[in-house]
Amino acid sequence: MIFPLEVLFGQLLVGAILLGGLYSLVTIGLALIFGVMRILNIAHGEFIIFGAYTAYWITSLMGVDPLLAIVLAIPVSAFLGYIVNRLLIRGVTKSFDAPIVSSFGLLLIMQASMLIAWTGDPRSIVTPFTAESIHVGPVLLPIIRLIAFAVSITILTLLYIFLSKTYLGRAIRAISQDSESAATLGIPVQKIQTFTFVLSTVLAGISGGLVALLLSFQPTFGPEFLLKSFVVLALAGVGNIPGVIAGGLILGIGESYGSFFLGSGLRNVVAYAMLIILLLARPRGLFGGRAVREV
Amino acid sequence: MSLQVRNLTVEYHRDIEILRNVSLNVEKGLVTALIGPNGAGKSTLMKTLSGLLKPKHGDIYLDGVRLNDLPPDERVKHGLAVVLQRRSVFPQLTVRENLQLGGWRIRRDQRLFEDTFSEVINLFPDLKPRLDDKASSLSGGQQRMLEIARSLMTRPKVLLLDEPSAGLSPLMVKLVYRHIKELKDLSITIFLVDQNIQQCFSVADYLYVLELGEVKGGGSKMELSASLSDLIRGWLYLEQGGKVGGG
Ligand SMILES: Nc1ncnc2c1ncn2[C@@H]1O[C@H](COP(=O)(O)OP(=O)(O)O)[C@@H](O)[C@H]1O
Ligand SMILES: [Mg+2]
Repeated sequence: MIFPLEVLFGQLLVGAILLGGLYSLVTIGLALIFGVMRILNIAHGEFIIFGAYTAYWITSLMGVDPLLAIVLAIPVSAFLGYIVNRLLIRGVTKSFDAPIVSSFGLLLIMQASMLIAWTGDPRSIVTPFTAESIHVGPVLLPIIRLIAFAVSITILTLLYIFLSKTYLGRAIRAISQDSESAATLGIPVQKIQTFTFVLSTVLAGISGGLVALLLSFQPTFGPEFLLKSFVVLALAGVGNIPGVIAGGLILGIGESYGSFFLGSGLRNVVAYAMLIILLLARPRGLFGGRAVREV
Repeated sequence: MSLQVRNLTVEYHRDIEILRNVSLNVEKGLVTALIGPNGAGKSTLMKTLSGLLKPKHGDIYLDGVRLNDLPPDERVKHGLAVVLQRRSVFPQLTVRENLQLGGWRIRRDQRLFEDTFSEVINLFPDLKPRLDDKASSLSGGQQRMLEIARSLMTRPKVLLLDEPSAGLSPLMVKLVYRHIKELKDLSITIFLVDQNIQQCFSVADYLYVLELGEVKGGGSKMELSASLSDLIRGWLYLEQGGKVGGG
């Protein structure tokens, strides 16, 4: 088989990068929670899918514009995040394992609840420009992917500025570097952890809304996004935001080329393979060393 | 009277009491030191006072306010600050950012915040040229200075210092103690733990002796110095006896 270069390095690459930007946003909530609370939130993917459904229902029941629906879904994600943090995370954070177990329980509860409430039918959000593209030279840029990419990168940039330039943002980073020492300086660690947890679920929700614009989704798709987030974090190395963006792009490229050459059925296999290779090559593991410590 | 500790008992694991009925007073404006061999429980006491550990029983009062049930950040509001024994700078933040975060409590009062910042930086002029460097790039001694300076950003009434000179070069030890004397002159109440007995004696007004989790006595410098050599001989025995771990 011979593929024209312009397909290989044009269309395919551009599509991969646009998807990769969204993967970065998909990941960042997981990285934030791990950095600030040392909790591996196994239910991260469910927050994404919940965000997808919330945006879906807002747009289809209220008839509002899909992008506006994603914005309107923010308080819903925030509320869910607050409740989950209150009931499941606080109080059990003393032990490292407990939140992993309880977040796995949360995964099952959320998945089952969404299946019961909304069935397993695949859904997606159709927009007026779902089928539209713009031509740039020989390359077609699907508008919807451009939007998802632009929104993702904009949010990540704003988050980066927030974490590095604002006082609260620096306190968040301080907690992720040494929460005990932050507490002894009068920084209200628990309040800020709650804030970060809610922020993370909001970011997951927004990324879910964008996913819903691009792909069809079901209640059971959460773990797939958890897997993608793991791959991005394994790629990101030192878990800073530029690293997460780079990791997202690499995953997007890996998946796109993988499914192009191997068939789209193997898309997730490519992600798994990337994860396994990374873990073998970096035996300290996903969160070894300083990875993800510093968000 | 500033800080009062009454019958404090602390354990990490059930029924292994690391501190037993510890009572002591830290008087306002003075330097009170706690000396004792490795593993005596000095750091455990500091962590309990600052709120990082919960006591099994006993009480902690700061100027009459009971601190027991307050988390560490609330205790800072009441004027308690601590410099932990371990390294505790935020390594990936700059020296300036580290200092600024010490001012969380006063962050909304810009005037006070900036005045405090310049007071602190004037006390620690060595940090000035390093303000925009990452804290991790400082030497061990400089990081120690930063930790002390950062704790002053909370504008404490009482400052707890856990082994401020441990692991530092003799020159740095001198510098740290010069700073401690400066703080004393600013009438900040200090509760100090250090293995460096000589320096402890040079700065402290009153000393307590802690052995195996119990206060074995206390006294002014004069009162204690007579029995000092016996004390230290006893500690060497304790430390080598394998009864207690390192700390
Ligand atoms: N996190 C901990 N868990 C269990 N035991 C501890 C812990 N920290 C200290 N210890 C034990 O408590 C005792 C006192 O330690 P520490 O307070 O650090 O002593 P010091 O500061 O006087 O050297 C030691 O026997 C030590 O092994
Ligand atoms: Mg100690």
